Amino acid sequence: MCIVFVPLVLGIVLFYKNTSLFHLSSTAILLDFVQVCGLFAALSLGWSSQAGGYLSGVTFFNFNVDFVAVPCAFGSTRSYFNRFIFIMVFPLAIAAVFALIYTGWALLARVWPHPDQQMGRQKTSAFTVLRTVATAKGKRTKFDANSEWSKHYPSKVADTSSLQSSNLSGRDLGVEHGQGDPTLVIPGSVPVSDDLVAVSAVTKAEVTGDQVSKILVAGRLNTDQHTVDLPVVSEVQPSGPSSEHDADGDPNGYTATETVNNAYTVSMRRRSSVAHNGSFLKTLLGGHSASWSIPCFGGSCWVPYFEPHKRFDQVIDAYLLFLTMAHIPLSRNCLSYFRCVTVPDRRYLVSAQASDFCWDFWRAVELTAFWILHAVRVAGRRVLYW
Amino acid sequence: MQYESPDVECFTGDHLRMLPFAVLCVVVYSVGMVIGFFLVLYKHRDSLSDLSVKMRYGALYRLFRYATSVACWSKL
Repeated sequence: MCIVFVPLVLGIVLFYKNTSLFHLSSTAILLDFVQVCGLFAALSLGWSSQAGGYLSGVTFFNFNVDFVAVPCAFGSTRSYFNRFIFIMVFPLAIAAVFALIYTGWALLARVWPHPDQQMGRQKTSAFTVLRTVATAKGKRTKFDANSEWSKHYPSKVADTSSLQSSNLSGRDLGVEHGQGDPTLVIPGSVPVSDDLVAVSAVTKAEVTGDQVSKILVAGRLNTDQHTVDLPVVSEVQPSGPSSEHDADGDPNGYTATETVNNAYTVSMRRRSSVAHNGSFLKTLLGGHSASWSIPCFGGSCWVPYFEPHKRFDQVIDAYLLFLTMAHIPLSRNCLSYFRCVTVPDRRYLVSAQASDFCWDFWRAVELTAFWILHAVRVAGRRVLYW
Repeated sequence: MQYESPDVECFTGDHLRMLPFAVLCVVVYSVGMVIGFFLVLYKHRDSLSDLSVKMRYGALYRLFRYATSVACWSKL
């Protein structure tokens, strides 16, 4: 079981942690493999106890209701027909769950909107900009972040010459005292946006063999009352920082971490434009500091920024992925409704027409249908590319 | 599933009453989904290499390798 479930869970976690094509493909291929293995469980080939246990276990992914003991949990599913309906409406239930999540998030975002959303601001993300830069320069071990940033935000420029000051505190650097080298600063004019922290310089010490990557950022902190230009410098280790920056008493920013194209692990702190007390979930879960103990329903909490089109696309993507993986088990289950069998030593218990003809006929229909569908699927791929 | 419920008689009683639902399921899941996948891919046939299409529909055709398939078919 561990052979199946551990890689599967790991794949799903990686998929959600980094929705790259690689993880998407590996997770889907793994599920396909497990589903096909589950089909062999129906064959009476004298499996050993270990192989039989493995095959029966993986039928879970073929919507085997018996595996999860639903008949024990719900008395109504003891009937064959109830189990059949349960499996057949399962995709609809999944769709309902997705719709509930989407609409629920939309409604919560109206009640407790994100500060940026409440002010009608577009969601800004240094994470995205950095990914763009890294994609363009992915093969290089070093690139000029200043010039790259100026291509995206050419209008606003801040002078970071003062960043050479060696008496910057660890708080300004975004790291604790003694955990980083605050002196490595590349001066220059760094464009910044209103509430984004701009990349000032990125170094990769591959030449020296030092695996420490450092990203130095400068930015501008906005609040409701005033705007303060300040040299915010952050330094990142290859192992990637966590949300320590948020837990150190500064609830107004958060850190995004990304490993980009085999070169850099970078982290950027995004300064929110409005001071707030923490996210809805953090507050709901009790928070991590005393500042988040303020009641969530007093207007001081918020749900994550809700982007309708983006979230709708994600819901559609997820449901299509589910359908892609589920259509083989669903087809098998609904075709099995017509699989009638006979018991030789007793009267026809299954069907008055449950003769060899019935068995052979529907089995042939099922197999033919699968082969046709498989052929159409394979041929379709080739035709579509022509 | 059927062989696990030998008390069910085919095409009589409840089995017959559920037959339209089962046929509908066959139409939707066994035929409709595949046709739907085909139509979606046909609609995006010119942009299958785009990242957005790959992310959404890539599970349907990611195993296809253009060069390999063309080479194999050209030998026929």
